[in-house]
Amino acid sequence: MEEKEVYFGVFLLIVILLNIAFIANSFEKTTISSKATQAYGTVTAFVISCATRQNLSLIDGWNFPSFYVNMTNDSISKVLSSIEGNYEYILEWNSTSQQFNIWSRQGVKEFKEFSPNKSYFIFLNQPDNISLCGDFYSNYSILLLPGWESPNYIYEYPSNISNKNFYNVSFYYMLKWNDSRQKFLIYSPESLYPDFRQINPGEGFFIRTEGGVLRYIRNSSA
Amino acid sequence: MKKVVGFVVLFLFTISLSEAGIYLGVVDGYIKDVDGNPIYNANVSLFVNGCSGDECYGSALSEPTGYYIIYNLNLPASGTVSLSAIKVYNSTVIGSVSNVQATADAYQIVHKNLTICYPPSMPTLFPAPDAHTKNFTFTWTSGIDPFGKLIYDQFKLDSESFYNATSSLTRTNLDFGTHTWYIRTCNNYCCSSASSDIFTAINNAPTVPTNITATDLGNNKTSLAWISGTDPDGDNVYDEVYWNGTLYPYILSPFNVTTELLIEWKVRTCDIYNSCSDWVEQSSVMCGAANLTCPSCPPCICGGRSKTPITNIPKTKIYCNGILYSEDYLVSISIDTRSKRLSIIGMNESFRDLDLEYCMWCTNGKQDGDESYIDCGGSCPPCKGIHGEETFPSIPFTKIPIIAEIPQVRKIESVMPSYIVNNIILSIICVSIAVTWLIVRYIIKIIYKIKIIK
Repeated sequence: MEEKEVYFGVFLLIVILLNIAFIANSFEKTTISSKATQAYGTVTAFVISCATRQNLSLIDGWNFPSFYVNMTNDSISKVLSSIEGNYEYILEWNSTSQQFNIWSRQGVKEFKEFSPNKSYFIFLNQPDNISLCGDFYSNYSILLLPGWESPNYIYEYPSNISNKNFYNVSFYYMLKWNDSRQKFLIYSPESLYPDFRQINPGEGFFIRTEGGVLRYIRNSSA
Repeated sequence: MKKVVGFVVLFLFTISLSEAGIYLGVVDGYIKDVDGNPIYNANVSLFVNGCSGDECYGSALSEPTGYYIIYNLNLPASGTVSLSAIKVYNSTVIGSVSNVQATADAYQIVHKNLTICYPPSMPTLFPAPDAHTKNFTFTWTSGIDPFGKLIYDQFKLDSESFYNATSSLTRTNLDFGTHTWYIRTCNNYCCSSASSDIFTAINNAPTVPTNITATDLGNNKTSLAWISGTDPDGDNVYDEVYWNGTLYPYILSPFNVTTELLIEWKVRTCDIYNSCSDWVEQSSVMCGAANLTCPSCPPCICGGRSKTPITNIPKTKIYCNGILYSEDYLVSISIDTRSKRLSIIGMNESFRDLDLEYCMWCTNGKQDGDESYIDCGGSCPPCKGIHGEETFPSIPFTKIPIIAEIPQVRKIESVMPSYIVNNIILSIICVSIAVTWLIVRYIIKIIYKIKIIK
């Protein structure tokens, strides 16, 4: 090897080292300090107007809400985006198998969207509120299979239960959830002292029927 | 459970969620009395069979219509529940139904009607007194039905089943001992709890026989006699004798038996209910073939007699007035210091204390009295056994051989191993030879020098 080539090699090595140092230095300069408390720039906000809204106060533990606004996007992540990180489990009643389908943040996700026909159990780690935007329902029908069903209660006003009938469906029992006791309340037409006599806006419920169609008819006077 | 989400909770890592099971199980129905009237405020309780964990139990009070409903139950589809209900009035349970089984449908729902019966009140019984009898009469007063329904009573004794009965009831031939009788009052639907009483049919065993004796009658006969025990209850008694491996019931004293040389027997007294006293036992040596007319012995003032047991003597026959009754492993030697003669008498271990004492003339070295030879025969030890065995007439004790003790000789061994000893000896021999050779050589040299000098 000639002397020149040695010098050239040393030179190249120095150049390479210098380049590496330069590149590293440039990266450091482009890193935002974690201690920064202010940033300057321009932010563009898009505000969507919402005529009808459902506000839900959810407790830590199991909640059993219904949605009385018809949302355009029913995906779980979208609907519960405002409480992202606080909900862990969602249960959807499978009326065919008479079991719950499960959505787990850490595990299985047997469904990914809320159905407008169903009420859902949602488990929160801590209390939180959500505000849902959508249209109110008008008249609406939900098909009920024999056995237990957990249909969505779609109105923003309460509806009374009359003996063995609820929105034109004959039933044996109705259950709704007591948040504080974390247990069901029951309505039995046979009982003189049922736990409840009406379904309130935002409340989910179970109903045991021989099947039928739940025909919601909006009360124009409500 | 698949149809509930209790299992979901298992995945949760928040402790507070362990109580957050969502259970759809429902049990409902109506509670009525036997006439179909609803029962208000009956306490219904249930448990889900095979359930463990949350919501396995539930209870409810019935409504005025008799309707009850229990929910939030951890009840699977086709699961079963055990239902019970009680009706309390003035802090008293006046009606109940228990352990009614029911099965859930495919939707975890049980619909089960319950019927509660109001039983009559418990009958009042009059305790049966303890008595020495096998026949008892039981008396009671029937309970009362709260609604005036037709009633009847049921009786049972000990572990029998209840059967219909009316007061008073007599039961005969009961076993002696403690018994319990029960009586309850029933209507057509249910019965009251039973009233009960414990009583004892007493029977005391007779006392044990006394004064038991076995008398040698000679001619191989023995008379067993005793005085029977008495029965504290005044019952008639009889005696049982157990002799020679056989139980002889209903035996009167005296009881003559064919003599054995050694007779062991026992007797007890029993009453007519076969309750018996303890056995009383006796053992005696009989000499059934002995001459009943033994010559009268002079007073046996045998001063200076002593006995020394000698062991390691082969079997020695033991005779009772010439009749072999046992074989001996020990003998005793009676030494009469006045006559200086020995009387060697066989003594069985178990009869060591019998001390077959013979008259003085049996050890004086002379044929006198009724002896058939010197100191034997007649009232003395026989000269020959009935089978020709040798007996031991007296002998002068100067003839007793004296056995000298042979002292032990102790062998002392060398402490040094033999091969070392051998080597040393060999070495010594070699050295000795060498030294000897040197000495010889030296001597030869000297001799040689001397010769030269000479």
